[in-house]
Amino acid sequence: MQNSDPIICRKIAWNGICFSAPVNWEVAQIGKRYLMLEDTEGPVLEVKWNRIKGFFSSKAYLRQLAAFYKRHFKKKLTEFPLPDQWANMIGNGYQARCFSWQGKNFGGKGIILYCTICQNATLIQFYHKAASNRAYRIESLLSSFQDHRIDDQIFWSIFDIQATIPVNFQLVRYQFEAGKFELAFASKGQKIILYRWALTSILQCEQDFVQFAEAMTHLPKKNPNYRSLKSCKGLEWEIVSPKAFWRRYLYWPGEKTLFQWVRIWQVEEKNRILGIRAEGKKAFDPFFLERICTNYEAL
Amino acid sequence: MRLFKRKEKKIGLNRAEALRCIPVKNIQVIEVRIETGEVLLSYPLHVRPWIAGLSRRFGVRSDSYPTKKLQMDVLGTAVWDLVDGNRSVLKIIREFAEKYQLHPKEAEVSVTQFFRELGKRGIIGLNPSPVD
Repeated sequence: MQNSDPIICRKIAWNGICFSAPVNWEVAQIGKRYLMLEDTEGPVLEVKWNRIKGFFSSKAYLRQLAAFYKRHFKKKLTEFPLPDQWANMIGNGYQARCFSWQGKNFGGKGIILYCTICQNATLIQFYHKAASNRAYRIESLLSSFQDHRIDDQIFWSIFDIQATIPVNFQLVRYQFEAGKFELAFASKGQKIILYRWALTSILQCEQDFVQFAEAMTHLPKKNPNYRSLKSCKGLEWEIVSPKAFWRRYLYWPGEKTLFQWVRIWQVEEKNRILGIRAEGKKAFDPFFLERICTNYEAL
Repeated sequence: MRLFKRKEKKIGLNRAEALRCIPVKNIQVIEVRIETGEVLLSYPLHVRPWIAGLSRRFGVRSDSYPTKKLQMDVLGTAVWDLVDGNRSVLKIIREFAEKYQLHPKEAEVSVTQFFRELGKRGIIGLNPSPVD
């Protein structure tokens, strides 16, 4: 019997892919192109993806996967034809291959998707065990699944932050620690780092906002003036190093980047501090930075 | 009979079971609240049985073992105050996340890490709660 209660979903978007998942499913493991979601009972969904250069054979990949399951988990992977309902959800641009497996305590269903437009291959696996999972079916995920956008932007939405970053900025580093999140993107000598700090009320008892910003965003020691933001409680720095090498060395020893820009602001209703740091060999377009700031928010 | 039988892997608690456990304070722990409202704990140093046996032979009384002190910060105190012997780990996580507007996963990581640290020092123990 299916659970008739409507399931509240939220968007999860990470490194090019985006889908909706129930709110009680939390991201348990995260990689550059990997996500594992779990509920209170254990893992429920696993998504793995990669851009393919050249030819991709889903048949060959499924064969490899079946061999892996047999070797490591002693389970037999069975292929089954793509159900019509699933086919309607994924649309025309995809090649799909479905499989299932059954273990002692729980089984799973999966699908290998290959997008012919963006050459992205995705492996989605659902783990079936708890009764609570039955209402949210693979169709719901497939209907919301997206691995490319029409514009040149990538949407990011993970835990309680969301941002939109231009597609040429690749994820180079990420850090999710209790109280502090950091996502770093780079493109041709330019770098953008997104910060998010929680427990603002406590952080502010310990040190003042300027001190906090300086310490957390690694501003140079010879600190230039900052300006306050008008729209909210926040600060902004812009540091442009002298172009001449000897002057740069004299005034900014150890600094490799010529342009540094930091904006940090407080989201009081969410008890968060958000920050963006941009650095590069040449100055960024102010509109470009403004757009990133506008799209970066705490959920 | 196999002499060199491979040891069977111990299966620990899974996530759901661990979250259902009820943290209980060690009765030997002395709790003092300082002026800032934070908690200062004094707990007996955990002595290995063979050291305890040896020291007994040398006439050291078991109640004269050294105690250690642990001062908690604001967040540690907030979690410590939620440990009442009735609330489960999951309930503590939820209340802590709500109080400080933390993401549930973020609260879970920090609270469980905190309990693990307290457990290592013998300040708290986990009581497995009956299945609902």
